[in-house]
Amino acid sequence: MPKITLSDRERELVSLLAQGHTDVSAAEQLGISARSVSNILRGLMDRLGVDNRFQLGLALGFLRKANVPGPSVGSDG
Amino acid sequence: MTIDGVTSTPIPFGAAIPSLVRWGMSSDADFVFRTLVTFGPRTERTIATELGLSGRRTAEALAELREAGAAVSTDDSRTTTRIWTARRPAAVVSMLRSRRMRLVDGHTKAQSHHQVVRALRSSGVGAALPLDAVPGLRGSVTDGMRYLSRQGARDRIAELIATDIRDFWTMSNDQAIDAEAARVAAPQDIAMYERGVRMRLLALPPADGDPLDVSGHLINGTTYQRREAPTVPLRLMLVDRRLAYFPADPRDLDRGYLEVERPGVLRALIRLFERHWDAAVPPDKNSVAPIVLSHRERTLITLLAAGHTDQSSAERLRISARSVTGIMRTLMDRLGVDNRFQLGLALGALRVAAPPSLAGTPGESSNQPD
Repeated sequence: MPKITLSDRERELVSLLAQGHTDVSAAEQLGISARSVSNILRGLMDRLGVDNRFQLGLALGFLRKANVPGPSVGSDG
Repeated sequence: MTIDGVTSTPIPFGAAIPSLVRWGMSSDADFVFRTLVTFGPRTERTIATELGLSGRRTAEALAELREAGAAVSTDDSRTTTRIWTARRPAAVVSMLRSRRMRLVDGHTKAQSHHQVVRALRSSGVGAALPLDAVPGLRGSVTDGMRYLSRQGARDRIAELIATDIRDFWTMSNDQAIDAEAARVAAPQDIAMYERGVRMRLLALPPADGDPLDVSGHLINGTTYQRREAPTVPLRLMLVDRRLAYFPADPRDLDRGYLEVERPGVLRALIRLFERHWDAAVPPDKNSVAPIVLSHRERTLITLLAAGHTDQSSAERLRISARSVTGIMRTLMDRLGVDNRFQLGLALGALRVAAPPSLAGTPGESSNQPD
C-alpha cells in the first residue's frame, strides 16, 4: 500500500512555500531552478491527484504534511 | 570553560535560525534562543530587559532551553550574575530531532498492545478478552464483545458516524499515513467536523520526523484536537465513550477488530485514553483563534476543493469572479497567509475541506471536473 511520504527535497520545498516563499525565492534557497520547483510540485500534485496549488495545499494540510504560519509570524518579504 | 557545541561568536546578523517551536519548544524559548544566538551570551536580566519579557517568562524560557540542552549557563550561585550561552543551532536541532523521533517497530507495538489486554484480563473486567489468538469466527465473543472483520469494523464505524454521535476519540500508534486509510477517514473527518463532533486524536510523532507536521495552532481550539505523545499504548477508537474498537491482532490489522461495549472494559479503556491524553502536550500551546466560515465561504471552498476554477465557482454561486477573489483575499487575511497554497494548507489542516482524491468515497469513480 502506498504511503504518502515526502522526499527530503519535497519537504524542503513545501516548507519554504508554506512560509510564504514564491517559486523563485524558494528555488534560490534550494539552489535549483524555478523550473525544477514547478516539476517537483507537478509530481506532488500528480501523486496526490490534484490540479492546482490550492488543492495541493488542502491535501498537504489534510495529511498534516506542512505547518501553516500563523498571523504571529513576521513576514520578511 | 569550554562546552562542546557552544558558540561564542555570534551568528551573522540576519542569518536564518531554525525555529525551535517546530520541535515542540515554546515560542518564548525560541525567542530567547534566537536572541542568545544572534547577540551572544548575556544574563537573564539583560535578556528580560532587552526583550521586554517578564522575569517569570524569561526564567521559564531559559529553564526550558537548559532542559533541552539548547543553552547553558555559568554556575554562579546567584542567578542574576549567571551568563547564558546558546549552543550551535544545528547541534540543537539534531538533539531535538533525536529526542522527538523514535521509531516504533511492530514488535514494540504488539508488546504494548498485549500489555493492555493482559491488564484488562487479569483485572477481571475483561477476563474473556482473547489475548494471542484471534477468535475463530466473526461475531459475538461474549457479552458486550464482538469480533469484526477489518471491513466490518470500517462499515460499523461509518454507520456510527452517520448517527448522532458527540465524541470520537482515536489513539493511533501509526507513524506513517496509509493512503487508503486516509481516503476512508477524510470524508468522515469532514462530516464530523461540520457537525461539531468533538474529535480527539492522540498520535505518535511521524516516522519521517517531519518537522513541518501539524498545524496544531490552527486545529487545537476547535472541536478537532490533536496531541502528540512519545508512546501510545495501542490503536484504539472510542465512540461516545460507549463503544471501543481495537485490533484483534496488533501485528496484522487485516485480521479485524474487537468491538467492546462491556462497561468494565470500556471504563478501563477510557481511563487509559484520558491518562495518555492529559499527559500529551498539544503541539502548540499558543493557539490562534480558529476560523468560522460563513455559508458562502464554505460553499466556495468546497467548490474550489473539488477542482473548480474561480470562474466556474463564480458561475455556480451566481457571483462575479471578482467577488470570488475578494472572498479568498478576506479568508487569507483572516488566517494571516499570503497565497492560496498557504490558505489550502490551513483549511486542510482545519478539516474544512479536502481535495476529491482524498474526500472521494471508496468505490466511487473519480469524477474530475472538466
